Amino acid sequence: MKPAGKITKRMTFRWRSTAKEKHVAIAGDFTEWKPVAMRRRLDGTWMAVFTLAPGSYEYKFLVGGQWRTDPENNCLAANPYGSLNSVVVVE
Amino acid sequence: MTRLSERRASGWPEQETVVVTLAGNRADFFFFRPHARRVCLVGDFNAWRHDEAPMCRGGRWWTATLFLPDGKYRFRYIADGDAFTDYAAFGVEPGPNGFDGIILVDTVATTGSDDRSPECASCARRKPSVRTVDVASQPTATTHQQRCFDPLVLHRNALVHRARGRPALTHVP
Repeated sequence: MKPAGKITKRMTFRWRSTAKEKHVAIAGDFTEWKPVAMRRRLDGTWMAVFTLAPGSYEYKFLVGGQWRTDPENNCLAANPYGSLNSVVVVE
Repeated sequence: MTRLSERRASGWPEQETVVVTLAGNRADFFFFRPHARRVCLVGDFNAWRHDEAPMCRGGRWWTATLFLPDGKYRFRYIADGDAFTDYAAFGVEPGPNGFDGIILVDTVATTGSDDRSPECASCARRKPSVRTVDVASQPTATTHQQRCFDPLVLHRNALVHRARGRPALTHVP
């Protein structure tokens, strides 16, 4: 049996939108807040997959040059800039 | 105390359509609005911008979780463009468009130092508190048990979970 600290999970992040964005990126604790481009799928959703160790992570989407929280995630944390980051908890 | 089913039949009292529970720096917002199509939270914490803090539907309740640093925050719920004040939170204050609900986050007063219990699911999801307190100076009884077994919080949780069709929260410390 593996020790608990070594178990990681593949987490999928999705940005669903009806608007025609040209570029969507994700940035968070797990990317050291460097924007990572997401891939656009045929159905119009943007997707990125990360392998994460258990813990809680903050992230945000970069859509058309603007920082946006995840519209489908109701778990958020305040950041020092007076706005919110989305939070994902890996168990 | 009347039973939940009787209260539902007589129309829900106003104070139970909005519930905020606080555990450390984690605030859970519950908003009863079964027929709303879109609900979000606005407040100091997101500069009153709409659509930054969406709430998700869990049955007939809308829920959101915020991790906030210590401080006092004003907030409101926006359901389909209409603002609603939480009069049952930590008080209300007059704002430019009527009363705003208040939430007071004080990690030290509510939890002391980092005393999360691994058995308690709500504690496990909580992030470690930023400020720490000398553990030796804390009275031993006011730890996890008292906070998580606060009768009001437990009662609110039970109401919310029953309303969602789930069993009430029970855990053994």
